[in-house]
Amino acid sequence: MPEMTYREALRAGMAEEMERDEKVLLMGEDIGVYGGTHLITDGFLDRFGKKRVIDTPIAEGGFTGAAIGMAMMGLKPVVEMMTWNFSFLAADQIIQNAAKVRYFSGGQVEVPLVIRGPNGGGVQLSAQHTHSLENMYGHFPGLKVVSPVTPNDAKGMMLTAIRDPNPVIFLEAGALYGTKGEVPEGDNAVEFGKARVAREGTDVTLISYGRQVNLCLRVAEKLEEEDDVSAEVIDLRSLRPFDSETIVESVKKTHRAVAVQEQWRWFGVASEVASIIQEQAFDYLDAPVVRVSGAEVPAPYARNLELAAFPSEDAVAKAARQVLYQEVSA
Amino acid sequence: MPEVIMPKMGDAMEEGTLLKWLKSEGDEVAEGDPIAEIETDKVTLEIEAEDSGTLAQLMVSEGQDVPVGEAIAFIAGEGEEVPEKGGGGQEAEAEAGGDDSGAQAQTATEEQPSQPQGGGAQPQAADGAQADGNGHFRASPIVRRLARENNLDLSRINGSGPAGRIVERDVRAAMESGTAQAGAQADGGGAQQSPDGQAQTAVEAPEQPQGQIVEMQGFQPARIPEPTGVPGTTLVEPTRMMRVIGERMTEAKQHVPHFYATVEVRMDAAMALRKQLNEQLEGEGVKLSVNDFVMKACAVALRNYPNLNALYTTRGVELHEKVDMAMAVALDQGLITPVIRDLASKGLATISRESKDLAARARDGKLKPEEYQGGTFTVSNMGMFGVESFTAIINPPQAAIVAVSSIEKRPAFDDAGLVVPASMMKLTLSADHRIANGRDGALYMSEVKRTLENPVLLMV
Repeated sequence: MPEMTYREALRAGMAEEMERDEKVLLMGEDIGVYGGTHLITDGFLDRFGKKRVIDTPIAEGGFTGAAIGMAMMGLKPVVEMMTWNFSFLAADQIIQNAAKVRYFSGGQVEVPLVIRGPNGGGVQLSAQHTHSLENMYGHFPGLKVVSPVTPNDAKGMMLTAIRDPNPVIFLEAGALYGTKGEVPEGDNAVEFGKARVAREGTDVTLISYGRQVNLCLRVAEKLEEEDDVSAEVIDLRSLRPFDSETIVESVKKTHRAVAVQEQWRWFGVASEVASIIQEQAFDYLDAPVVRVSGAEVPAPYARNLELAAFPSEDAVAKAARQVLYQEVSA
Repeated sequence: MPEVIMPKMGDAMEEGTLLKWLKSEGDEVAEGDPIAEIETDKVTLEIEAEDSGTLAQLMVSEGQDVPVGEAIAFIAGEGEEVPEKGGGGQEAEAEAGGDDSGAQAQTATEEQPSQPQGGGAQPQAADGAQADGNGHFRASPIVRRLARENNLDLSRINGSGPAGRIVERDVRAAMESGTAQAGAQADGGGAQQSPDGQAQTAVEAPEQPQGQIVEMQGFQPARIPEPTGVPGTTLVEPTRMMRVIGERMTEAKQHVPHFYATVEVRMDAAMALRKQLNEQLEGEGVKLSVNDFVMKACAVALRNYPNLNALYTTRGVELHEKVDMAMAVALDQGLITPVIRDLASKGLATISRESKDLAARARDGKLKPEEYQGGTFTVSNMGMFGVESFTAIINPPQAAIVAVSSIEKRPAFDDAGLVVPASMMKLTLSADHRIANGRDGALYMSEVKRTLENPVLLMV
């Protein structure tokens, strides 16, 4: 199976779908001539021409609104947010129009729109450029929200996102653009609403999405080596629709769960995970579900502080040991 | 199979404490036999069997709080099967649920209020009530599930989790060693509990006292400190009655806007009249107390102030024509307020007789619920303790309460301006400002004062 980077996988997904469907077009700041700030769309302008690869002004509300209009008229725009932080300026369009037009029109008008870009932090971009917005967009009915972590899912979910007749918030793990993974040739579309068991285990379930999945996998290895504990790691990857079944089945097997997220604790995905588990697997729990989250501060710039502000291997391992009652506090 | 339920011994009663089982599981009981002793917020009493048969299941442990209407035991009639040990609990529960016949138990003799047997609710050692004990342990959900599925008795498992929580590994270890099998232990009663459904019912009950205490602590429980535990201290757990008094008084002080009005009453005329009456009525065994005069005066004066003889209700202030006078009676374990009905229309001799009777039976814990419920106004007298004055907390939903202090000899001025000895007594009204205003309270108290200072008015 060919190996490619996360960046190449995104590129492959968009390019293949643009070849397949001429209604697909790209929009965003510096995506054309410059090839994209993160070089995701490098070469697209030459390959697909400026009608389908549109450099926009620095006006997120304007070009997102324009893309919504295009989608309503039948095109399939893929909009790049240079980072998801800038989507605050487009949030009115996304939330008030993209998420609601289909509902308002009684299903007569669809909005087949993808908005994609790097989400979260980890690369020292400081407080204003280090938001994780999955809980914010996941809150609104009418939007789909996905957060792939492997190159395979990056491509496969991009294919699904572009084909979906609804607006899709496509949250890329910006810190992982250069990471490599196997991606099968051809159409590897990944269905939304299906979590991925990234590692099988029997003693504790670590639940995450985005780049924290890799953290959980490292912790799982560490727990195996140091404590002889078998940890299962679940990559949610699709946050809306959400796959309750996979986590519930896993907890029914392991009886313990830790939910890990980079974003802040309050009102986050991990809280949703914990709630679903207690609703649907209460009688199987051996310990309260523990959440590991980012520190309650705006993301720091300094590397040491940034590391301290995000979930660490130690923090996740500690949480796992806590639900395993290996560290019992009175 | 008839169930024995926690009876409702008054409108305000929501749960009772099972103090003591008087019968063991498996015992034959005849209709009318006392089977358990329960404590409500007011009294301690025995529950009688309403059916004859075999006491099939004791569903709660001693010391446990049980909501009104919930089954505490089952009585199997002739030919009825005692529930299977393995899985009978749930069946029995289901059956109980479908049994609409209501209370199968009635109260018999009422006894002196006594303290619950510690808060700890020790499972009875002799009988099979051990499995009921599953509710008294911290255990994770999977542990309870495993206990049900494998017929385990959690009381035989030590918890290794935080605060002694029994966690899965503890159960797995116990299952391997076989030490926690319910019913493994031979016992005299021969009645093993199914750890099944009962374990579930027992699970929630122990949480309730905690919840109540939190409520009693009001809205800032964080400020209540942990016990210091230093030498020379003793930790006393509040009785059910003290908890209830605490809750009600906290609620009253927090939610009822009290205002107060104090008058000083010259009691010489009333004392003289009392002496005269008591001398005349001695042969009939009548001995009027000062409090009888005060209650009568308070009740008579209420005729012109109906908004102080009132209840604060959900749909407005309910004015009462009759004065059902509650009188506070101190008990060793707390206090209770028996009610003299329609006191304003009763003569002093009747009031005296009734108040003595109620007070005596209150101290013996033998009041019936209807004798201490439904008052419309309260008098609290601490005169016998030598207090100069005090203020009382309103007893909701009543509008007002009068605090009666001691009679003290004081110098006073007569009409000629000469100093003369006078017997003075302070009365303090506490009234609900949602119902009455200061002027009503002041005028009412001056009317009480006028009546007591001219005690012939009590005769008309």
